[in-house]
Amino acid sequence: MSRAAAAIAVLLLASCVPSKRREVEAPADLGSGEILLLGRIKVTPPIAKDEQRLPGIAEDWRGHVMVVIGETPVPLERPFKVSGYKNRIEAPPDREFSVAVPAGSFSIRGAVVPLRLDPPPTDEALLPGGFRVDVRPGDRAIYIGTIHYHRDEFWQITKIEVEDEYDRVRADCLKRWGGAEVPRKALVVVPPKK
Amino acid sequence: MARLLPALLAAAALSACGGGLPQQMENQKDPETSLIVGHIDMKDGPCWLHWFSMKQVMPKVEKPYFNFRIDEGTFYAEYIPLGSFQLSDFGGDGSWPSNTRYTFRFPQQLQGLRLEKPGIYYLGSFKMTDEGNFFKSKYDIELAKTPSERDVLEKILPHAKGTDWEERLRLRLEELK
Repeated sequence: MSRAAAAIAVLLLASCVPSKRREVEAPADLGSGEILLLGRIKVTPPIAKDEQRLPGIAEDWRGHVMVVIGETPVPLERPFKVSGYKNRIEAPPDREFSVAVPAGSFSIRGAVVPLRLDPPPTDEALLPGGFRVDVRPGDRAIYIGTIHYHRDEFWQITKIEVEDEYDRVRADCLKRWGGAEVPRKALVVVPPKK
Repeated sequence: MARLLPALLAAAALSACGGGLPQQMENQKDPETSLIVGHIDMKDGPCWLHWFSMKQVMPKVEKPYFNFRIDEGTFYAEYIPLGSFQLSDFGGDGSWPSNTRYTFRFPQQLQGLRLEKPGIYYLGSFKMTDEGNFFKSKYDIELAKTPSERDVLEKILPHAKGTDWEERLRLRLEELK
């Protein structure tokens, strides 16, 4: 494939990537029927720069983990299609994500680490999910914890933990949101191994 | 038969292709190197095997890709250091009049190879399949029963002539009798 053809393929791929979940700073930014979801994805060892081959157009994906949610906890499968990124949560490596989601319970189906987008075909590491997020009536913001994936050098997941950093997140929310409102602690639970 | 390695197809020119390495093995200065060997039957594929490469993922090194020597579907490399490796890609050039270069990539999230002591390691025999239709091919590779480890080692034995690997291969072949 020539460089031009590869560049066109990457542009086409980028243009096909569906939209992500809207990032919001505070509950005041929510629309009707939405709640604010706070959480974090951690990968140990962290994603190394040389593990991702991304075109310049997707450079802002570097180090991010794409969280895929759905009504039911259907596991992610290969081949992972670009359409699977629809309504993804882009979880940054160094802080909590803060996004608007519909005000109803849902599942985290899994997470995706894009490893290669340039040139196609794409390649990615799929991280297991199956986490249920219970949203209660009246919730405006919930904190689900840090989902911590431990992996080996072959991207095999060796352990999953949910870590509670609520005190820090709560203090941060009080500071950033400028009021008395805080997220409800609603830590997800690691599903049992099948 | 179990789908073992879902290879990803890209009909693309790859700058890291490793075709052209001589078949003759060499003695290694580093006594901690291993000989890695395997076979892919590409009879049902779009090309013959012209290159095969592996990527060192641990420890991190400046040049992580290792290209293999090729002899009609058999791939081998006697200069692999200790470490962790992922199968990277393989492929070949389509036959005349096609000028397409076929590259099959392995997913990075795949159980790899951890070399903790030097030796002779046989990765297995594989067969490329085409599960597509008349209009569109869909290539994959599966585990194959043949050729056996013994067959593959016998095939590369002449390429080890005059090196330390010759004796080590003979010893391994004795074990496989």
